[in-house]
Amino acid sequence: MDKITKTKARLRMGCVLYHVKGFNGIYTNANLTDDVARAFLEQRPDKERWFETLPDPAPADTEPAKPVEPASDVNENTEPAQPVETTPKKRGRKPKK
Amino acid sequence: MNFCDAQLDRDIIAIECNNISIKGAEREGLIFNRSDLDLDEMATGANDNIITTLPLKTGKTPFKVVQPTRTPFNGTKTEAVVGTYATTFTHTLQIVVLNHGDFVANVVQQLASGEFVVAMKNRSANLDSGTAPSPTGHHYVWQFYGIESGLHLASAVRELYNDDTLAGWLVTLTETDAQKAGIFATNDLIDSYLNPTNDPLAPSQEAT
Repeated sequence: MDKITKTKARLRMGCVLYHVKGFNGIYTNANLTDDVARAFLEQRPDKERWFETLPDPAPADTEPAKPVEPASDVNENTEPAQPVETTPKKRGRKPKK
Repeated sequence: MNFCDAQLDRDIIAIECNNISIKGAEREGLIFNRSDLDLDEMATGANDNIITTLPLKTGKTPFKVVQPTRTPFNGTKTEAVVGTYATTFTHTLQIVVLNHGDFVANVVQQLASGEFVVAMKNRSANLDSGTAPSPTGHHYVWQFYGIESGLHLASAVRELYNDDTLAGWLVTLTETDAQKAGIFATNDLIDSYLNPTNDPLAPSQEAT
């Protein structure tokens, strides 16, 4: 499902971006995204003047999911599992009340 | 010691069969006050005769110049001026204003005292050039006049009974001492002038 995000970055009239590292194509206000703008400014930090509005800073990276440790059958810190005693079900008549 | 001694580096092909030139220009061009252009931020392409970026200063816009005739910008030409030590180019642009009145008189007065840049679209068999290179390279149809030293008024004539101008104005603008025979613009650059996106928060879609 596409996520619609608003582009904050906006180029000044007469500015066109070429050869943005990591992206193909030519970019004007018609197709500019904040990601493209950030990538361009990383390459050309001296070209902030080409922008009427700068992009928002890149969103903070989310912490990588911690690897889930596989369940272990042997755990040294606990006592070995005790067998669970179960009483066999008795079959018979219900007791009188 | 270095001398200005350019060397040819390619064949001169008089006729390209897949790109035979068509004379003339399209009816609509753009005219800028040269002081409205941020020339410090100009960027060029594969060679410095092609401008890829030329921003306008904040709040400034270009204006259309429309020539509703079969031969728009008739009289426009470029001539080499051969000097003793260097050759320069003179670019001449002619504009007809098929009208008169206080508004037009004001425009002519502004043209008389200002410095301008004009972008004009040459007619060409190879439309939307720059995307399909010909054997000699890309062709760009939009051409700038006045980038180097500005277009200035050379003459402005209004004749009451002139059949061509119908009592309008024939205005001639020239750029002298230009170093380049022609400076061109990419289609994307011109498009950014003609179709600026007005919504500053235009939504964009990112696939997740």
